[in-house]
Amino acid sequence: MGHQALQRVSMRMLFDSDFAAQVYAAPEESLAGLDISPQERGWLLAVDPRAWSVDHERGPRTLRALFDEFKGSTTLALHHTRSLASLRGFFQSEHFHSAVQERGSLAHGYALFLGELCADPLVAHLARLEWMQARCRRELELCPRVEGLQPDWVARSPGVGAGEFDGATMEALNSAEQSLFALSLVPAAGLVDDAPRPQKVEPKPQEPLYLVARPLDGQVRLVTLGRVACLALMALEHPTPVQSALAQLSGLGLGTDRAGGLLSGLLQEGLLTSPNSENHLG
Amino acid sequence: MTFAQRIAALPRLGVGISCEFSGSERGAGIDAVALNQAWPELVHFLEVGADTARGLDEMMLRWGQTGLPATYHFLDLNLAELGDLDQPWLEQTLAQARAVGALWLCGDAGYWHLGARERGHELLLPPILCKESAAEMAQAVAQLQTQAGMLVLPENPPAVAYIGPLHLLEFFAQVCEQADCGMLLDCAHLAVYQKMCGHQALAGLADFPLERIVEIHVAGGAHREHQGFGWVEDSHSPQVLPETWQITERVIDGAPNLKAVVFEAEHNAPAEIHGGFERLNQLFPEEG
Repeated sequence: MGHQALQRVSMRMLFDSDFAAQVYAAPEESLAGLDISPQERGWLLAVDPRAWSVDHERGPRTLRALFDEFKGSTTLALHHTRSLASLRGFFQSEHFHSAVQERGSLAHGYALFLGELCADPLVAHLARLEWMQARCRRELELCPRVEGLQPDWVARSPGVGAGEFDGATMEALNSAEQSLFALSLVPAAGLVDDAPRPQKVEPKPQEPLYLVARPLDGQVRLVTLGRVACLALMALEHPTPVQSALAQLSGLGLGTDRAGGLLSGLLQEGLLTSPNSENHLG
Repeated sequence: MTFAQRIAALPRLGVGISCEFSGSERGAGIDAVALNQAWPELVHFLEVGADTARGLDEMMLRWGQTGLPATYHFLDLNLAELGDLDQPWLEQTLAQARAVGALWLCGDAGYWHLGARERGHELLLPPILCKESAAEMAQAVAQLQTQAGMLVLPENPPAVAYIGPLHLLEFFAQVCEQADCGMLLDCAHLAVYQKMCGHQALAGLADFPLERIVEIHVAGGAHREHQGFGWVEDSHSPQVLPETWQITERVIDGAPNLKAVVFEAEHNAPAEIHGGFERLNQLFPEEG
């Protein structure tokens, strides 16, 4: 499979001219640890180094696709950095290179990158929230059914996600969306000093927000949920035996009876799924 | 079913035009249905370029309702990676292909996305040109062909940087033989490749099994320079490069199973592309 490793290196070189220069300057060091033979390395180095950077739109095209799913966090990050170059830094980041080389999710890498880009903790919270929604969309597209779930087990339903966020996260998201709407009226306004900008939102770490993403009418929608129910969904991210699930929920400060009631409620709401829930949870 | 059996059952489509999602809304983009009505003697089928994230647009669906021939060009499958083909993609792609009445599936055989499949990357890179990579692609094509129950035509993608010891045509000859499939030869992409590698326009064609070519693409290109490095952009402008015409004429002349010729000129005004369609129809009449 050396050709796949080589291909992924070439993708990284197309997006990161610094990395491309490193590969030519110190190929063995730059490609250390990868399944690439000296012969394959030679194929790569036979390419004219200038060929990697002819397409100036490659990075912006990919950022456009990422922006579609990370509008709030990207907007707030740019508001703070005031620099498009800061966003292009994604392609130099370890998160980008790992996602490509290990065939991971570029969107997840971008969320992690945004989370580290600014001092404002709301950017990280927004990025995490938007990644939760993006992941739920992928689940719905790729595995809309939980396959092979054993009897006596429960799992989070496909397209359902849950997370604990800063209390000002939705306020920050709304503020970012409002500034984008204002910009959409006169896009050229983005070039001027008094361009529409997100209003300042102060973080509220003492008032955590519990949000659940769930499918509704073919879309992934956000709803707020009580703390314990949200923590329960977060704990049951992976398929779990019912008895273990009840023990985990009891650990959230619920008695056994209330844990059973919560589990039943989440099943009835469609946030959890189980092959034979009624036999075991009633 | 063998390639010979599949190809025997397919009609000759003539000359068609390509489209991409909402392309008719961009710039001087073309409405293929209107173009077919205006020039029925020149535009005989539509190649629908689509992905599963965006689905089909209104014009594509309208074409499907006409009952006129169509082919389906995917924009979101890494055919160079065996693991990229999954059931949800296959099901949705086939549903979309059926909705437009596609006779076969085709698409640039390389990489459309970075990492796992996600929306909108529009990467479009060729595979590593080595025999191991050809073998993996052949497996992917054969698997898709079996699961789809349709002919699958890998297309040579465009690039500025090609990596690997094989000539592009040698690579795709291996893919076609091992997968027992046909090929979509993009003559403009091949012209770019030959130029970038310092080859003559027709280099390698004499040794290529031309009977595998079922469809060709013809498109305009533009010479560019970057830091003193000359390269050719696959611009899809109306100006087709002389090398592309040279390849096109050679292939039409020598490919006995050629069924379809696509003029990739969907982003241009009709008046700019009329001459191209005329020339292609002279070279490849609908009734051959």
